[in-house]
Amino acid sequence: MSAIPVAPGTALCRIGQMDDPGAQEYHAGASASVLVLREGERVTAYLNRCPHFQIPLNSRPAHFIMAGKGLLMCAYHSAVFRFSDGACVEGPCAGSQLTQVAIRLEGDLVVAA
Amino acid sequence: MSNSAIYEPISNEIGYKSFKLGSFTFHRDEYFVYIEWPTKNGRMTHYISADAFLRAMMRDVAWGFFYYQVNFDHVFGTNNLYGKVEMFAGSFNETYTSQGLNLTETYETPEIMAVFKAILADWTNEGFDPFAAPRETGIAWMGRKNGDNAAAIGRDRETCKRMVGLPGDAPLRSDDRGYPVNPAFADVPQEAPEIHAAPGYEGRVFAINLFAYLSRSDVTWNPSISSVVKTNLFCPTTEEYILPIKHGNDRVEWFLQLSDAINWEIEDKTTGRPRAKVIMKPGDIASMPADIRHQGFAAKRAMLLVWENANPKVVELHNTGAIPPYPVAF
Repeated sequence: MSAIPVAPGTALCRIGQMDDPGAQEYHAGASASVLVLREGERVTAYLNRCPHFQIPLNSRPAHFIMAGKGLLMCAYHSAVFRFSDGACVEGPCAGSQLTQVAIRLEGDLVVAA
Repeated sequence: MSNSAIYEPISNEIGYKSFKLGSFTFHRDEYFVYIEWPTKNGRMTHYISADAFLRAMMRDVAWGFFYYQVNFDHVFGTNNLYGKVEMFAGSFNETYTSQGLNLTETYETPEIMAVFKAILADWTNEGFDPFAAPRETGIAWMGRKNGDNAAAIGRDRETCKRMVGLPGDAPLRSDDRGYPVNPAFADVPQEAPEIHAAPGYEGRVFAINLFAYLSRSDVTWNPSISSVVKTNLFCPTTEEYILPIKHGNDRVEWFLQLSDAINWEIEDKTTGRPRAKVIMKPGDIASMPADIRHQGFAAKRAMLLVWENANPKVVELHNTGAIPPYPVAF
């Protein structure tokens, strides 16, 4: 199990600053980041680490690939993950899962729980 | 850019659909795949045997365009730009480029992936498994369209989080899980190692019989991920017949030959000029530089350990010349 790199109470991003659907990255140190996903009113967060090769899902800072409704594609080898539960539904690590990061909303603010 | 895929609504006279992506078109018949693209002299047509094309397409799809360059042959292939994908014809073959007959187009990854999956699904006949060796899957790829093989082309790649066999991680292969010992490895002992962990380390150290694990591989030229340390990936695999692609990596890749033999043909990644032939026998280890493309030939099913560096930062270091394309200079 991967350690969650953010302490409870850490402010990750503001929903109002995200696209819909959209993704935002919160850097937690030099080698870890948290991925916040928004689709409508639903917001979820995961470690930004693809379970295929244990590397980030984005190849460029703050740039994530949307692969259809509620789906995100890893930039490296095209694994496709569901926003809602982080499940890999297609690609080289189908059946695996992103590591969820617990969050709560404080108004517009997404905060690690 | 958006090069929308156009599916011709009517299949051809032997049942296969044709496809279009950007300026490229794809057709197949009983034996061959025809790839066409525009040139200054009109449209160029390139032919690939359908079985070779499907085996290459299977890897490109299953590996998510892999590390950088996947050449289906000496003319056609893709470059993974990690967010976008280039598709090219003749662009990494100096005969084509010197005559101006090459074409490269760039697509959003989901777009080209959707088209490639559609081609693979429509052109793979019932009974043909693009991951299998020819002696295993035969000639079902030939002839008129005959059903499909969604189970074979849709199976998941085996990947572990830390190590296969660890509790909660990817399971080991077994008869019960549908992984019988391959006839080529019938003499491989199946005993598992005993683990005697020091107090305090119970459940934290683990070992498997790697040869037994590999003897149950049901695919060829399709590395699974058996252990992971940060971004170091150990990807053992079994190889038989021809690596269906010429892989042009964007980083150094290490090969350790575990059994039998593999002959490698090494070419310059940009021009396709021959650079070396490498014959690997059991115990041999080789590093494939970041500026070549390689293709392997295995006369008998062979066990190979591929060691990949998944660290995305090394690509930029190679591209800028900060590190050389090889791991050691003699």
